[in-house]
Amino acid sequence: MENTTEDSQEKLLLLAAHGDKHAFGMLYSHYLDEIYRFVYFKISDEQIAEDITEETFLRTWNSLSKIYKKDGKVDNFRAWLYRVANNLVIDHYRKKKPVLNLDRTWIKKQPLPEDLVLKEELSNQLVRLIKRLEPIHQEIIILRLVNDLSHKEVADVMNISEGYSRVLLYRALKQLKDILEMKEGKDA
Amino acid sequence: MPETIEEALEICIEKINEKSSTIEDCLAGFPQYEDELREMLPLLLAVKSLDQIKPSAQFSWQATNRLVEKLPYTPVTIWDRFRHIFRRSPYLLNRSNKMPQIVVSIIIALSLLLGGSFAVEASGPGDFLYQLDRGIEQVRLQWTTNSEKALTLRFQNASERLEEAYKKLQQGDTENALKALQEYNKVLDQIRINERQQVREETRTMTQDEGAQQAGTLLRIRESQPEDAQARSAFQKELQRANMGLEQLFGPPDGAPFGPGSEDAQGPVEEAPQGPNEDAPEGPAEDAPQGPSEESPNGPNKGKP
Repeated sequence: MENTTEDSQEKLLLLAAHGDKHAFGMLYSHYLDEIYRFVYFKISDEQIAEDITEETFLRTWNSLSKIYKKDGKVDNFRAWLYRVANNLVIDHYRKKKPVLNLDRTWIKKQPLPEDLVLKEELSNQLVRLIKRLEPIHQEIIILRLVNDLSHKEVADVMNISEGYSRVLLYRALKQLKDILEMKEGKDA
Repeated sequence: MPETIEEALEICIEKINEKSSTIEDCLAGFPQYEDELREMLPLLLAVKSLDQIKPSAQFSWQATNRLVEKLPYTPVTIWDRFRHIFRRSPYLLNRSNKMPQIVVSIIIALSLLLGGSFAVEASGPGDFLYQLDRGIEQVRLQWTTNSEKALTLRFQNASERLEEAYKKLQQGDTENALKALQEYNKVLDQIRINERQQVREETRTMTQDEGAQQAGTLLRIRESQPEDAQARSAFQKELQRANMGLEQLFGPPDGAPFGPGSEDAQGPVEEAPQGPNEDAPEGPAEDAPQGPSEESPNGPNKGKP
């Protein structure tokens, strides 16, 4: 959290667990972007990713009593959010429906400055490369590098050991490098 | 010194995150992994730049407010659940939300009704709720248009006064016990004055039962009289008055459960079943208008209904 220490996050969770919606809203605004990124990498549709992100928090709110413990602590709230988001992504693929977002189409048609277009294009290329990785490698890259989770948190989310999380990250980067080299070779 | 490339990579990530090292610093720190790291670290930085991916401005704008509005109330503690039931406007409640409100309202109403009325009923002279108890009795009587029902209520009130007297006596509260006994006698007087009517068989049975119960309670009171001479005298006077009141209503008892005490001044029942007591202010007179008469339907004895 930018200005919020772990203690204040605990307090927010405590308040949220007692039904304070605005406290939960503050947690939402803090975790919104990273959960969105996590979902977006898996879904590739911005609007669906947004919907799933919001749904993730609604589900978490409904389950808050389960993760709220008697001593006023929540066992790794961040990891819980990722697990909920991941489950929703799985659900989405199970009952996949085509979605056409007219509003979003309109937004994309807005002209962007040239440097932003270039940056967006580079980002898109990188995202496409990451999507060619094995799912488990994609996940470790998103969690550890993009969203900056610690290996302990990654281990919680992915249900693996911390040591294996480190090994996975190395393998993922290596695979990404190989894919990039292959692509450059083709382009050349 | 890291033993593996994974550990070296991790250290580099941390240092680059903290901005305390550049890629070149990392490469210099781990010469044994330099070649591999040289390829990976720029890639790593590029991937980290993807943290700029964010939801659309349209979505982000007031996203928190939107979510907060959507959040259903899902309380964690029982108290919160209970407290929230009455928090919403009743106009906004749907059917599923109304149910807990109705249930809780019924529980509260019953608790107040039963608990409150029990507390009032259980009060005796000198208690905080006693006057309320008496007031309720009066209101009930005034609202009762059916004379038989009124008769039944008066008998019940009389029984209640007598029980209160006995209870207070057991508690050693002689003063309030005497007050209750005096109240009992007043109720008996009212019965004698008011109830000259034909009653149904069931009412007659009920009043006879109440009378028999009262006779029993009088007996118990007599046995528990205070030792203080002055108080004892006052009690005897009231007891005698009570016994005679009952006799006037129901006639002399067979076996005389409520005749004047044999060892006391009142004398045994056989000797004076209906004998007027000089002290008794409302002792039964043969020509007393309120005395039990032949037309009185409530008497337990066939000879004296």
